[in-house]
Amino acid sequence: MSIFSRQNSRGSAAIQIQGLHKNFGEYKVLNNLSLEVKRGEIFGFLGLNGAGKTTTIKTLLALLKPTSGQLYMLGEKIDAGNYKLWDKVGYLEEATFYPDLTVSENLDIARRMQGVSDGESVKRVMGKLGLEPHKKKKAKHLSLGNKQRLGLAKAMIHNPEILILDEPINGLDPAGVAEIRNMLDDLAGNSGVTIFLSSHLLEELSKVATRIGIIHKGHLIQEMEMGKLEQSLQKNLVLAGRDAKALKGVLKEHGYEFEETKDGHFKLTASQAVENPERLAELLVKANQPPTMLRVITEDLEGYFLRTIGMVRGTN
Amino acid sequence: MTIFSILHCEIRKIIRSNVFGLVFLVFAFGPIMMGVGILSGDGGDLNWQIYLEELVKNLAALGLIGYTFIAAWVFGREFTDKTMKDLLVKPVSRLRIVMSKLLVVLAWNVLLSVYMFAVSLAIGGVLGLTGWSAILIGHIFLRFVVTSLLFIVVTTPGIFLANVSKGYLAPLALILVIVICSNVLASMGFAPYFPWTIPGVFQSTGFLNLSSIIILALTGIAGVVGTFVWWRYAEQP
Repeated sequence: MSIFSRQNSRGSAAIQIQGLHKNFGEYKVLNNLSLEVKRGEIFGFLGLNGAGKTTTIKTLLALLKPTSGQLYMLGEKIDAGNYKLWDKVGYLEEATFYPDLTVSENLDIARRMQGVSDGESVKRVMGKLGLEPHKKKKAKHLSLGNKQRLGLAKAMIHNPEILILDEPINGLDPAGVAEIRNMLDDLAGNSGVTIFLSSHLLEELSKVATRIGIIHKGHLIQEMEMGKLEQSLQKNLVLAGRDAKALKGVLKEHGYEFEETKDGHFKLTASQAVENPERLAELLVKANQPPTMLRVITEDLEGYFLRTIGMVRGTN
Repeated sequence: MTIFSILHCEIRKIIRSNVFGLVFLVFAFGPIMMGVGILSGDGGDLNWQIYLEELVKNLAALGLIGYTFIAAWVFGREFTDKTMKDLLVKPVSRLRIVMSKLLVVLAWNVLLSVYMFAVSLAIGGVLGLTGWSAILIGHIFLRFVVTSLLFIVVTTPGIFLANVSKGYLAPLALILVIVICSNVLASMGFAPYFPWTIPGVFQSTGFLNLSSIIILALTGIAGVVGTFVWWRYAEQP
């Protein structure tokens, strides 16, 4: 069987976390975290530093024991003693390697430790990740981007059903980022690999994830299909004119709510303005205050994320 | 996966590391310096027996530090290279990984003890010592190797400490303290009861009493069991 050619088996849960709590002494890191990742999906896991992303990943990998709660992968309970499960899971938490060994030696060790008998898999994964030209280079002499590629290659050498990746595009140049993005797309779309992806590069995550989950203070506060995100993103109408005072008067006169930005522009969030910008433009022209700038700006994922976190902060 | 496959990985990791060559250099340096030291203090009646008996006695402390360093490094490097998690998230029993590492430590240390003895012989040959006897050399060699094995047994608490402290510096610090304690305790007559001086007792007498054997065995077993338990149950934050 060639690498990355597993049957696509969408539908059932690849990862299930139920009521997960994790305390370090008095400090509660994870607080009743529950989530489910379906097979074949790319799940983007977002959160601020200290939100509990890495602790969640380490608990999934049985590197940490949950204080309470249940974790399953591919229907099997996660436990340090259930080591056979790692045959189906690849992970990249931090690109690590044996520094004095070459790229191909590091991969060969990963292959053997994963129990892959096919020696050609090293060559294939090097080709897939563009590491072929560096195969004889000691790992410690690799660039940051190539170290990250080596980490990914180790995670994928055994053709896993689930890939757990923590910041996988760290250190990659824009071309490398696009390459990895396409590869993840291909793995999930064509080979049915489930990808659990944690990243702080929210824009990149929005390009590759099929669903996102936002973790805040150890609790999952939002889960959403990427297709539905568009509807949830806030839209603002931003406008400017030659005479700000007069423009303000016109807006007030016609009942538009607005706020003034630091750069002297006006930001309108009401749907009557955002959905009908041409009506507002016409009105301003008629009032002899034609706008010098009028734009509908859609919130990006980062803005949405910060707003969601802010909302939760506000309720706390 | 068979233990041979894990062993293959462990051996490869060691042979390709810089530490491997460096250790052989250091283990050659010890006998060379000690040989020169013995020669310079020679009253003119130096022969193979006096030379080797004096040398292997002095090599004991070097061996204890060296063997402990190697044992601690084989485990501790996984933390300093941050590869520990890679080992734990593999479809391999953690006990098998520990077993492989222990076997590698044993093999490497035995190899080094034989190497040290060979270097000592080479130096003796260069010095042109008299009184060569294959039986004599064989007897001293055998006792030296058994002493080395006994020293290797008491490296296991260092292995446990390497895991708990997540590196190989703490075991090195511990062994330096132990060497100091060993000298004090030996001078007080407690050598047969302190785990790290017991191999030295065997080196001198060629014999160990039951209490020494039990103390030595319990120390070795405690280190191994502690290491197994730690690998199985400790969290890796």
